Amino acid sequence: MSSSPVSIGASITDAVKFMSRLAGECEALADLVKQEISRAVLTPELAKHFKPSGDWITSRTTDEEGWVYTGIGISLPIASKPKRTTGSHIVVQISLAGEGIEALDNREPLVHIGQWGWPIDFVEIQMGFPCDLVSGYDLNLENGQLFRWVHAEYDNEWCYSVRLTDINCPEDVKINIINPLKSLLLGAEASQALAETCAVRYVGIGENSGQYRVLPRQ
Amino acid sequence: MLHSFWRNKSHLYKRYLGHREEGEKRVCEEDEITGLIAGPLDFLPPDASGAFWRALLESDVGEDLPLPPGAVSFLRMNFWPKRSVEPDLLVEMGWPTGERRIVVVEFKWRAPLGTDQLHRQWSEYLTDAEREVAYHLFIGPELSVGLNALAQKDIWNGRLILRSWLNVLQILNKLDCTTYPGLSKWRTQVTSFLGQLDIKRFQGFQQLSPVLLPVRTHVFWNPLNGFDMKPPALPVATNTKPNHYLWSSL
Repeated sequence: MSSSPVSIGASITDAVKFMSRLAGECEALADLVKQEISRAVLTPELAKHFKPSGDWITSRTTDEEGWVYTGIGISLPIASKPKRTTGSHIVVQISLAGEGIEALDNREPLVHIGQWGWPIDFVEIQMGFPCDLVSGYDLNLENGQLFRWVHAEYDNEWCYSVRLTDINCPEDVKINIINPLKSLLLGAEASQALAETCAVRYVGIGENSGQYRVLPRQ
Repeated sequence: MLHSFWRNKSHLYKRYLGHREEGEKRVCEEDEITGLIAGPLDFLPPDASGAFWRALLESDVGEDLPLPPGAVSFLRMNFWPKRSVEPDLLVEMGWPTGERRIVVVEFKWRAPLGTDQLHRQWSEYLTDAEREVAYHLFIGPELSVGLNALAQKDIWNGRLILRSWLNVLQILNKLDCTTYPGLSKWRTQVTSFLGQLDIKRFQGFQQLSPVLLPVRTHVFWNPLNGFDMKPPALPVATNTKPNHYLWSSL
């Protein structure tokens, strides 16, 4: 089907306007998540074990042309009591396109939530597919939903994902991000922490490929 | 100025997003935002202004509410009150029962918090007697700044209340202004002003209308592959009369 100059022109303008509105919602979501995670860290259950050790770190990434933002990463440094220095980061990555969503059979934006040793910078540190498999740790998938990097010398890191379009109000943020984050920080198993969420279900492809397939919504 | 921003008669709010006029070196962004947002509350009746401060202080607090019940009967706002240290605002509230509360308010926009700034406001600005009935309210872009102050040394014993600007927007959205028409107008204009500063409520993705795009390899520009290819055919001009082209948008 060929498009007339007028219809393609209108599509271009509509697409840019759409991206602007989308960007606004992504930024508002990132701000809301920062606020709610900061408040969660203050609650007695988490404050007993963790405290923030710095300010939120925000990173963004673009497409290859450098025109369009395709992802935003927010990372909060935390210390595990009784230590006072940063031991890990609570990380949340919103990926609209690019390697942050390129698991097999997935074509939609994802939000990845985790606890990692380093903050997201979209240079060395980001959630992406296929996952880099570097010797020194095992990458396991628990309950088909929680990635866990098991290190010999360092604390474990973990991460799970939800579809961006399943998050549409502050209550969705609480159910799918804040509550499971709290449970996982306190050591809960994936099956328990993610039971009430619409966390993405993955299945590994092959042996040690680092690639995963996304299963359809239940 | 809130009216000017609300009706798009002024774009001066862009100063708070970093815009500077030529030659303009220093803009007191936080002080101007303090005056813009909190200033009009000083002109409202105490019960109206008090309704906002109550909502701001008591949002998400379960037990041990900071303020006594009932409408505020006395309210005084003192901007940039000078003692040994200078917070942005001091709010004194009173009730018919004789109870009083003091709220020391620090607003932050894009500038960082000074070393021990919050600690000094709490320990040096207030007298011991004032501290007995006081709360310290910090409003900033994120909570992490206030959390760091708490982590550094907690001297507040539960009296430090942290709110992000997004929090403020959410509280405004839920504020019951039915008995206070002036407060309602103020709420509408402050919500609009915060939106102009990119502080907006998250409304979700399902409400975005999708855009239908034709599927093509090139959107509109078909690059030439080499110099021996013919250029794209241009449309033939059928109307030879005008010497200029009129752009017609459908």
